[in-house]
Amino acid sequence: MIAREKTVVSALLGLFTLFFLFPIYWTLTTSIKPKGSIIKLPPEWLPLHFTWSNYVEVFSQNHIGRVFLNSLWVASATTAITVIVTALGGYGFSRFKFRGRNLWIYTTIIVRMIPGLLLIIPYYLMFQKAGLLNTLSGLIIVYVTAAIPLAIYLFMGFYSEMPGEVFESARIDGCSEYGIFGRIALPLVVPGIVVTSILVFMGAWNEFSLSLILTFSDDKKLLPLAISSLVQTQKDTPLGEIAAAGTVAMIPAVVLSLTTQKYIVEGFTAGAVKG
Amino acid sequence: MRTERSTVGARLDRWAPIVFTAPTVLVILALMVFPFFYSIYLSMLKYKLTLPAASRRFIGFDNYRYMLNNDSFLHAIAWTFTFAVIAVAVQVTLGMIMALVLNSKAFGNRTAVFKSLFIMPLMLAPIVSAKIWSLLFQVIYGPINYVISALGFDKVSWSGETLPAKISIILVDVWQATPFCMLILLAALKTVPKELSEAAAIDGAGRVGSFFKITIPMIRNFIALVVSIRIMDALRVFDSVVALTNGAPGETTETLATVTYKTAFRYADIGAGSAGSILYFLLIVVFSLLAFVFLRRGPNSI
Repeated sequence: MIAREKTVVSALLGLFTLFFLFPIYWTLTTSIKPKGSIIKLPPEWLPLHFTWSNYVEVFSQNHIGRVFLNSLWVASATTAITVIVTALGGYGFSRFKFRGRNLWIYTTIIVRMIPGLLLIIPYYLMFQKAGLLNTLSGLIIVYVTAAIPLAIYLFMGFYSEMPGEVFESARIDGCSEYGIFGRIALPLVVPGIVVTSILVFMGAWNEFSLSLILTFSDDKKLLPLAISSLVQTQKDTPLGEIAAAGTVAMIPAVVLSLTTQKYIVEGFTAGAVKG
Repeated sequence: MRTERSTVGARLDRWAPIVFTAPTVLVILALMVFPFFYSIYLSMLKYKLTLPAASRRFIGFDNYRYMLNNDSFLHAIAWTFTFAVIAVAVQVTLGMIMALVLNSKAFGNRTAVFKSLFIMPLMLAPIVSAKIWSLLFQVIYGPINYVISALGFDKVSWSGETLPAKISIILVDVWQATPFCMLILLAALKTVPKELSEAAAIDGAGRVGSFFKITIPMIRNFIALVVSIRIMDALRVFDSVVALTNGAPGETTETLATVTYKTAFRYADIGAGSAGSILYFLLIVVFSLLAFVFLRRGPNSI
């Protein structure tokens, strides 16, 4: 029985590994192959020759360095602002009972269902008036907005898990509401901040459709948009360069999945199950 | 001194709920609630970006009528829903198998490392996933077509023919979203007491029988949740379509999101685009609620 289960489990693990990891493996290896090894039949399953030329090409021709920094700035700023706003908001909604509280909680849940595309059209017109079209600040504003419903939800969950007595005893000791938040709630919610930051950062790092519509010049592009336009700008499909740019874009995802797996799993599970 | 401080403190404390929640509430009001209603207003205007402002006027529900009589839009509705149902069915089934495999104690805890490997696609940008799959789908030098021709079949034009194009879009979505289903279902399986399913297995139900009779009903709510979250996301599919086919061949793989986007921005028709996006929102709400209610209150619920 156990022996048979072992066989089935190993066979399935093998298949899943092939399916989920081969595309990543293929991208990494294609990115370091010279052109001759990419355009070749049968395909070179193991890379036999090594070159940096795809990376050199991508960085010199397509401003990928600049684009990478844009992405890093937008995703970091989005994360910082979202976490500050929702760490406060989540605390407010979960600690205080005030009039209209439930209305707001339901509103944040319902707005999660609005497809981004519905909001893009008004954003486009509003940003045109406000001079925010084709700016990184504009993108940060919409990314923060897009991240808030999920983030506030996560934070409300984290705060509600804290024992209420701690807050009460601090109040009796003469602590103000702000003191209770700063000295008691905030230190306790740090793991929650890590979880939320990872999800918000990845969300902003990976976003495509909003940046497609709200930015148009090369120096304002973010990574996903730059990668998607690699093909259109050149006649031959630049396979090696797509692979190199794809690898650059994959770095944070791969690093985060391998190092902070615990937080990612908690984030995705909490974000779904508590919702 | 002390009383003075405490009255000021008390007054400040009374404002605390507002101070903490105001930033969140303001952002949601200004950038979600307001644009939502603005979009409803826009959907009733004749509003083209290419025409002067003077040409804008109120036309009631004409844009809705136009979208609902528009073959591209109707076709996109059909394909988007077909896509969502097939993709989500495959993802949830495959995700369940993966969760069962990772939950198996055949190798003790040594399979835990696979969990961090399998979540990698989940962390990638959809557009990047689609791009790296386009390397695999490459017609002449791609490894997938190489394997297909090595097996003696004809090479497939993955973006040139309707059915392969649709399969490629579904496959990329399955690759990207199955790990999410796996994570939630794995968390669900952990809530099932081991003794319960083992007892049923010994009682002659068999392992498969106990899975369907005990485990599935017990985690029914988790399954409903995964399906409704995934359906909601799948109905929004945009990035991978843009990257893989951009709607081709013809308009056969255009989804609700790509059609609405093209109406508003490529054809610069803000009014019709807004009407399309409102219809799109209504379809998402209705369909995901139906999926959720149906799965939660199914015949086998306990």
